[in-house]
Amino acid sequence: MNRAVPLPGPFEHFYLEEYPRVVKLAYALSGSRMAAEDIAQEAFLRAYRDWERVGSYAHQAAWVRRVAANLATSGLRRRLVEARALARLAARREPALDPLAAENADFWRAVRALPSRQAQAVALYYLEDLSIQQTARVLDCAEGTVRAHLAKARRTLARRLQLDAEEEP
Amino acid sequence: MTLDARARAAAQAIDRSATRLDPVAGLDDLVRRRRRRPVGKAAIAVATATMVAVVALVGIRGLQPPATVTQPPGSLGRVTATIPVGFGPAEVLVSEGAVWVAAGQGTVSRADQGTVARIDPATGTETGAVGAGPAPRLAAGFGSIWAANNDPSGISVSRIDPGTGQVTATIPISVTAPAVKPTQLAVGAGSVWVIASNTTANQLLRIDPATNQAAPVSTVGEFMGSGIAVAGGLVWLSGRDDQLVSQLLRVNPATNRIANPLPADGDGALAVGGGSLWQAGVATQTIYRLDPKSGRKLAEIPLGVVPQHLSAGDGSLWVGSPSGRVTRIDLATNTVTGTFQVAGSAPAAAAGYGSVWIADTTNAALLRIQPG
Repeated sequence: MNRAVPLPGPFEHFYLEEYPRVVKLAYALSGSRMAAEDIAQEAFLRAYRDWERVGSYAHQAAWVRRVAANLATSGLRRRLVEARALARLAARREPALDPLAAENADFWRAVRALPSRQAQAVALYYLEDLSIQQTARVLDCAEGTVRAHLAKARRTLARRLQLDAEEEP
Repeated sequence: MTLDARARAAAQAIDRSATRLDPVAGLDDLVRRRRRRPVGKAAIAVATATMVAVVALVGIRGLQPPATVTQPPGSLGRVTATIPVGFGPAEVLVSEGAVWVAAGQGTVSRADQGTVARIDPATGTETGAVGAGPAPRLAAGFGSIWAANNDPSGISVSRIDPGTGQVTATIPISVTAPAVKPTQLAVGAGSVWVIASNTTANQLLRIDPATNQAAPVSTVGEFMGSGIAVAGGLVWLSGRDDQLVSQLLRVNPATNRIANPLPADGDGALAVGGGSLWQAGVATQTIYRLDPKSGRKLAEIPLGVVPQHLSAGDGSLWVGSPSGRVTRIDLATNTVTGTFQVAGSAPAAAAGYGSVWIADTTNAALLRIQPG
């Protein structure tokens, strides 16, 4: 790549740093290789549009994750999948993400079947390896709420996947 | 098998699935995909945003001629020189016989190639440059220029000899996660003070200029550290607490102890001048003048634009803004006495040697303004 694309403030540096992680989060929560990049881009586009405010604070990473997580678990996801699939068909482009093995795909499918806040908490906790405090910051809720979401999610997942939920977060 | 083990395996699988992910291509896609949305109510809104993004991403340098500098009523003066300094000038500092410009912010191909350039104010020409990470920050003190390098591979502070323009020491700054924010710098109370930011917390460190060694002082909140300054014998940090409430922190440099936070109206950059501490209010688009010992508000000056960078010099406070407006505030009267507008972003401005020096991102230049 030999491009030099000026962007306002440190947005570009932030984008390059965070984009892969936000795509992965979107992949886990949407289950769609096609929609994940679109969701991440939507989140970054929103950050860009509000960059005078978002970029002035030190919490861009939490902010963009919150947006992406909400998009991935909302009705917009379905519309994005449809729009994106059409676009990819037209462009004959393959998504950059690889499909998951059946066992791992089953796990994330079970996560996505959870209530959305529980699913978001699980993805942030396990995929992003965030602490309870950091997860609470992304979800904009109390740490106790995150603990409750995780506890319920773990019980449900263990039951559905027939796993031992012995380790408590 | 435990749930935790299964979850971690599934998380690693997601990680492994993204080896072909290309953030730079994603940047292009961000523009291209938005243009393909079907026309509808939502599409119109997205298209509007896309147009903004397109202009910012490719139009400014690639599709349009360089934007011209305008001088609205109340202009600071006239442009007497446009000095090329490379992509993304982000910081301007007038000190030690030169004008120092840090560039390299907001570029893809030069993401790891920031520079600190030395400009001779007599000739308006560059007389040397050293490499730095992207979006370096600058401060002067102890006979040196200090540049905080926010390099993705690791944050460091470069100590530059102002006479030779060469780096005399590179001081590593340890942080616990990849940095996403430029570090902030301030000099005073016998030390160079550094805020190293990462995704979840910020760390305050101090460098001993005698040994060039950095030592941690304290971890501060994720949203704390938008500004740092040394005034009234204290180190001041500006930002927000974990509930996003604006506040100021005071550090006693003798003990490294942080006093109870002070509520604040502002949340952004800090500067010292005219015997006061000055704080930018990003959300309020206002500048606050504060007592440097108590933090008590002495005056507030509405700007109408987001203040990004503050510096004091020649009896004024100079405010750079992502909106492209540079504002001059008289330190004696707390009033706006001049403005200057560039077409793109003006992330920094400073005064010295009878001129005002403005970082102009659109033209990748340092503008020299002769006050009128």
